[in-house]
Amino acid sequence: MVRQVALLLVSVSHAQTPELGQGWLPEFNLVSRQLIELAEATPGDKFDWRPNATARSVSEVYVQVVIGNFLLSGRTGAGEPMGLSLLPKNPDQAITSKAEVVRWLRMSQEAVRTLFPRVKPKAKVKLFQQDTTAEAVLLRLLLLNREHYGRAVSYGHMLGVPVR
Amino acid sequence: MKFFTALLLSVSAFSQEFAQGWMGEFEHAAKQTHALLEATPEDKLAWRPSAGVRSTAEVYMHIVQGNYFLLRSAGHPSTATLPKTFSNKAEIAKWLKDSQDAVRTAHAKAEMKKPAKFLGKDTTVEGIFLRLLVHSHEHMGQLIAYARSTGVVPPWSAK
Repeated sequence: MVRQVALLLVSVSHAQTPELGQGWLPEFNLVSRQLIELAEATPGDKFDWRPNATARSVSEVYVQVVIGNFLLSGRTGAGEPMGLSLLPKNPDQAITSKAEVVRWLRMSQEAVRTLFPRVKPKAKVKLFQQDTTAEAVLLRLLLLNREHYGRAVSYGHMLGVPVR
Repeated sequence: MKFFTALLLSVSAFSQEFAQGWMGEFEHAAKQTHALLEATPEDKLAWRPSAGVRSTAEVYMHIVQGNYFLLRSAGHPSTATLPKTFSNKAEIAKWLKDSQDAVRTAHAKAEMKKPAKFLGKDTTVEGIFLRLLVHSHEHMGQLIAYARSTGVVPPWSAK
């Protein structure tokens, strides 16, 4: 069983994903690249598609990542993320086209990378009214990216988008 | 900023573990995957978004496989032998819980800074545990999208 799973994980990814299991920044770079690739592979006219009336649309899933990158990196105590002040007031309603989604994804990812070297992992910070540390906030940011990538992959499968 | 916080807090009751470190995040994913499985009707487990893509049941079992594979890579092998076929909800829930218990036990005694190999590359035990967590969250996200598509409301959204 273990060999089967290893083969599966290797076959889907290792050649293109040397970041697997290498720590926070490589994992962040990996999911960031995968999100951009998937958004770029999705036809522009599918960004308003949603699986049902109450679920998030394709663009809204990606915009959650944008919001998470800005909000969470801004709570690490390392300063305000670059570009946050430019973010529209209701981002999920304002950022809907493929070009805008990809542009904001890239900007938010760059903001995280710029802040990252300044983050003091053990610094005490508050998030959602709870005491925590900067490294725990970074972990939350990474997991938010991964969870929404998982959602975007499923949407991609439903829409016939080639998912690597 | 209040708007952003409200958006990210939409997971409500399950959010106490948010941003509280590795184990809190692991418990968050464990709770949500179990709650989602519980809410999924038995006849939806075979649903898949398109041919050649994992079914709902297969995604759950992939999380189980990932947990055991990554634990082994981190130096905590298990003797668990997964069945070749699985479709029964109770059986999947048991496999999921057992694999998560194995992760909890291993994490408690893991030497995080110890060097390890993963897919042929040098890393640390901590790097592998991070991958395990990231893997669980990605497939939880995938299952949430499956649920939305099959009319299953994630229990934490219904509150």
